[in-house]
Amino acid sequence: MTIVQPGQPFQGDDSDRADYLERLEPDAFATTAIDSDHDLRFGELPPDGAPPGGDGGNPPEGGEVTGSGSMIRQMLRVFLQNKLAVASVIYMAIVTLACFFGHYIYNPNLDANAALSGTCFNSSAIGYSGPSTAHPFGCTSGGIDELGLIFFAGKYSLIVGYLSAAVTMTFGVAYGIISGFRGGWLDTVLMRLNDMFLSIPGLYLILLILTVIGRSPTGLILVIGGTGWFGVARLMRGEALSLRDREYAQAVRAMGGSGTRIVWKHILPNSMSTAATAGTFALGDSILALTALGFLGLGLAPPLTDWGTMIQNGSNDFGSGSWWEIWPLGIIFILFVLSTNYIGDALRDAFEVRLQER
Amino acid sequence: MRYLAHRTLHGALILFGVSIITFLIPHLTTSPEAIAHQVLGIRAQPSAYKLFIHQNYLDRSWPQQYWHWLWGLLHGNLGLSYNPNSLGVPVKGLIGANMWRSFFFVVPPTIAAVLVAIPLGLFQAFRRNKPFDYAATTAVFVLYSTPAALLCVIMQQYLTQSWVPVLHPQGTVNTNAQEVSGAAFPWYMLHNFEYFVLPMLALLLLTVGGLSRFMRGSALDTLVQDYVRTARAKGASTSRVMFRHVLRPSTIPVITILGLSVPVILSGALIIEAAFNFPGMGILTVASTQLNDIPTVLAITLILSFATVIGNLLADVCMVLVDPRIRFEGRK
Repeated sequence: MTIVQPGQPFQGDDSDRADYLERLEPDAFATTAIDSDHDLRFGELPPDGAPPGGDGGNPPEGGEVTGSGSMIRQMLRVFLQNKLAVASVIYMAIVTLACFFGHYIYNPNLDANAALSGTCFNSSAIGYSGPSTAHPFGCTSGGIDELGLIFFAGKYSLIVGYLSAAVTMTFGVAYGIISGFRGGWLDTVLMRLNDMFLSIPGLYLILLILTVIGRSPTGLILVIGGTGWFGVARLMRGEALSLRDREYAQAVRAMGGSGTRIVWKHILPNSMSTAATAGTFALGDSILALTALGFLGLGLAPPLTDWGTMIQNGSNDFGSGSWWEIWPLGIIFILFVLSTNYIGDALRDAFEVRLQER
Repeated sequence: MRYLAHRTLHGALILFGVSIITFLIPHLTTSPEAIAHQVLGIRAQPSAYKLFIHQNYLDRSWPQQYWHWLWGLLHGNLGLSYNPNSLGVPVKGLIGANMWRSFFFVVPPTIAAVLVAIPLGLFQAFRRNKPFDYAATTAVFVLYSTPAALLCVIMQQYLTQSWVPVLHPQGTVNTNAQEVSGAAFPWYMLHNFEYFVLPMLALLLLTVGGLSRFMRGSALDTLVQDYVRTARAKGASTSRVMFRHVLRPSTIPVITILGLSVPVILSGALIIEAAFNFPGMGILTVASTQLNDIPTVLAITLILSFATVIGNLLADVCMVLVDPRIRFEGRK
């Protein structure tokens, strides 16, 4: 956690160095996103059980109020200051909306049988149309409109991507928090098991499961999501481990509160920052995994298709000059994954509001 | 040394667990009948199904099956293939030379990637927020977000012989390569490097993309340490600070990351092998997956997990060499 990511380097100069050193202290990281209204440097107790939204918890009393507004508002402000991250969110929203609803505006016939009677084939050297007014992104060698296919494949790629990330986060958060909070022998067993899973190269594990499971969307969501959560679990375990012995958790215990209450009311809300960051990276990773599978010919089975399968098909025609089968899709795709990475970095910074507000 | 002994024991335990996990995944999720149907096709005689199930131990309880498989493994027998084209052929023979070819394919670019990523990250940290840093950070970020498949396709298309004369016009690896066996392969690669430049460059780029951001971050962390400030204050030159004071401590996290990214590198190598038609473990795995050849994929997965554990162990050894503190502290 003490690693500064390239997206958000340490900004400022020598005058900020002390501030930066503060950021590097392990304690500063452990207390990330506990409570932005209180400055833990001065040893003050954070208010008991204030969840990030400030709803339901005690109002902040005493202590230095370093910023105005609720924690979410502060985080939002820091996030919005990061222009690149905002642009990434907008870009991801546009691509997602276009893939899901683009066919209401632009709806070419994607049926392979209709391709023969379509306008894709022409008398050019390679036999099918490049970008034109009828086909803005050109056509594939099978006579199917490229832009329409990007929307169609994108819809399924994104469905698998988003839902796999959801599966990853559900498993990872539950596993990590149980392991870290319970501790003891259960923690040892669960973490050894996690080490074992982490030692199996991911793509090979996916292929091993695919020898016995069909390539339906549900199957791929479960396989990609089910093999992606090991790192998240380890991260969340560390988070739970550092949160469960905080003063407010001890206070709940002293007052007779149950472990379940500590998990739901304190550990879970306070570790949401780490989880949200990990979730953004998980989204990028699961879309990359699906693309890898598609490229290997193991993506969504026809009649469905995904972006990886499109790259595979396009690569066969690329050599004959149809750049439009690779570049538009490639750029859309790289920017999408880039966006998830930028947003992940920006989220991490936004959750370190307390550290940035000084 | 106790530290390393402890790590070795840990690695052995991990491997044992991995063998159970990977064995159970295909064997508990399907029935023997389903496997027999997939392998023999739906038109085979019922007696053939029964024979297949019996011969492959699929009619025993899973501990018995696992024990049979593990016993074979310990004696160098990786099982018999389910591939319809080579049904009953020992998996060991199928994997054989592929394993060594993959090994010689993956190791040189990985070492080269470390040698590129460490100075790159170091220079980026020293030129923080200067044009060089911005350019390199952006390039690494884009590389990190590019699917390996797309990178290979683009490289094959644009890095052609007309641009880079040393390359072979074919763009993929020579088909003769699959007849060259283990120990002779490095020589074969040297003599036919025009085929192997691109796939190795692709793996190098992907690995640099994963590593240099950590080196940059770790060097930035080191730069604000007191002893670096002291060194600067007493008038040490930038290059002396860079190589004497910053290089070594900032390499330590990178070694850990490298050890942890062995699975990622192997997954990336799989796609590059497929894209360049390199006759290695990756292509064999993809083909075996498509043919539901469980024993082959199982054996490969286990071998590569073994490689991962060895990689982590090597990283631990390097850590001991780079960071003298570990020798005395050890880890509980």
